[in-house]
Amino acid sequence: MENYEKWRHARKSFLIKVTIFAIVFYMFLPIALGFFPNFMKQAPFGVITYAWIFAFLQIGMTWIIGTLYWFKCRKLDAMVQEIRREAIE
Amino acid sequence: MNFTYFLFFVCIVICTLIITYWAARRSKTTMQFYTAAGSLTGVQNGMAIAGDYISAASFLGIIGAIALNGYDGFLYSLGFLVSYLVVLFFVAEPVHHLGKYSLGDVICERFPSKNIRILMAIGSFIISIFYMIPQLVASGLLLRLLLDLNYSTSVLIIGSLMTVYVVFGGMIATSWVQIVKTILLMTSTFLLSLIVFSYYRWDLMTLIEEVKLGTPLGDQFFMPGHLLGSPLEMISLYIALVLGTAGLPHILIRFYTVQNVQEVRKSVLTASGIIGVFYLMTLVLGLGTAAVVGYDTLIQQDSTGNLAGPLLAKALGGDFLLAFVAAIAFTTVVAVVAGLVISATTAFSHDIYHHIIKKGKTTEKEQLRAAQLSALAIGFVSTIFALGLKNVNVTFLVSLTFIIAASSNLPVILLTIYWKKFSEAGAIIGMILGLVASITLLIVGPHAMNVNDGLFLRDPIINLYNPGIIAIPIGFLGAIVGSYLFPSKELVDYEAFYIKAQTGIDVRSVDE
Repeated sequence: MENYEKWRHARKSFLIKVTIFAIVFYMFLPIALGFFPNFMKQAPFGVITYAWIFAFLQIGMTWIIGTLYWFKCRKLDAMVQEIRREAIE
Repeated sequence: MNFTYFLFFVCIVICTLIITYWAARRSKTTMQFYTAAGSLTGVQNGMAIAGDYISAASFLGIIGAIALNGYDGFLYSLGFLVSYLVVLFFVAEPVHHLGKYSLGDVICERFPSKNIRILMAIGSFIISIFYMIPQLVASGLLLRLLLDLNYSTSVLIIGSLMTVYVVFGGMIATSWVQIVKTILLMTSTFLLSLIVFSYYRWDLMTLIEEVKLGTPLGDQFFMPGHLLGSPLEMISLYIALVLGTAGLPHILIRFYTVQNVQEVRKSVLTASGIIGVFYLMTLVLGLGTAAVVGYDTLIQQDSTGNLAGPLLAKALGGDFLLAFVAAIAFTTVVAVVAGLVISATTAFSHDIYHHIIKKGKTTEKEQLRAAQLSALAIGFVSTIFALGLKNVNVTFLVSLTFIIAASSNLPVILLTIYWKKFSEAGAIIGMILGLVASITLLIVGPHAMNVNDGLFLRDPIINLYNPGIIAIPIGFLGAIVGSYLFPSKELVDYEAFYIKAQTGIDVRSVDE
């Protein structure tokens, strides 16, 4: 049961962190577009505005967070194997 | 009909029928029929998910939306993509561990009750049918424009193809048709994007300048705020988009078609990779349309902008390229509707017929026969509906399905898996309230109540095109309040259920 608690805790804390980050990052775009349109229309480097930068970053974020989860799960799966062995014994 | 068109269409129809013939010989058990017996790899399933998800509305509609509205058109795609994170983190793996064929299986693993199964089946059925009919109607109109076929013939062709795939080839044929579609769609959009760039000598700045000349929005084209007026509307749309996918039955049942959770994760990652790249390419094509074709020509051909992709292909590569893109659009439609037929079929024949009417006492052979007959009936009835709805604007049904999925299916799925105090009554209340709220809000909203061309010619009672921000909390609150008011009498071993949902380890069976 000890392994199970450890696994559960590790999974939970990882998911809470990335989920909060993803929600904040995702909802930032529509909220900023809705309430601070002038800021979003500024272009920090050359012609590309913040609106476009954040839009492209959302695609990158989805891929990066997805990949992070994949690698995290590799570790978690090893723990699950351990739990499974215990359960059978 | 032009010979080039004819050639492409015949090629695609023959190719998919060969797949179906091959699949039919492997589709002898219910397991194979509903889930391809878990025989797909993660990458294959990811491609099939992308094929299931990228509808003709995405392929044609988003290119058009970008060409007409610039930045705001692109926003839609982002929500569709990010929604895969919700699927990946919270839904995909538990669904794979808990269910066998349908979404009803997942919830019934915790609340083994007749009522829940009926409700889940009805929910899945409504979502699949509401999603399928607009696809069929749109494809009928599309083929009419592209091929000069009349509306009824087009709908009949697509309706019979989707039915044939599912009845004879089940999930195996559906999956492979979707995989082939994804490959064709991705290569053709990639090719078109390259042609757009080369047309402007690989100079992005020239393309951008030409876009500004081609659209009446000018400089403003690249600025937000042309499609989604109020901030509330935008936030509401964003919430519905990101939560909707995780409640769509036709996507979720795809997680039964792989062997283990590693492959489940690989499926989601592959799908989100493909979908992300696809949306980036639609952006290029949308810009290309605004630059090469121009706003006036586009709006003149079709005021919704749905013909943007085909018009761009014609302008860049003449009739041949247009025929190719039209054929891809056709494949896109059949792959999506086939996926919807199989999800509606599972809800009906597995949940309603096998579990409720026959109380789980049917033989393998009877189940397979029932599934095939349901698929036939569903294909037939949806085709008839689509034939009758020719002149009705049904596109709003698509946004309805996302809202129903997010406000009725998703709360129940999430709370079943993650909330200890969730009760059967809570599930029923949440599901019904979510469903009723989404449909009501749509009826009293500007889609149906519209002074110009609504079903009811009056001002809308609630002026939100995307009522997700109201409907989704109603679904969740209904489920939560319902659980507190009517707690479960017998305490199910939640801990054991949770372990099974997350790891697949069945503690109860180990103990015995």
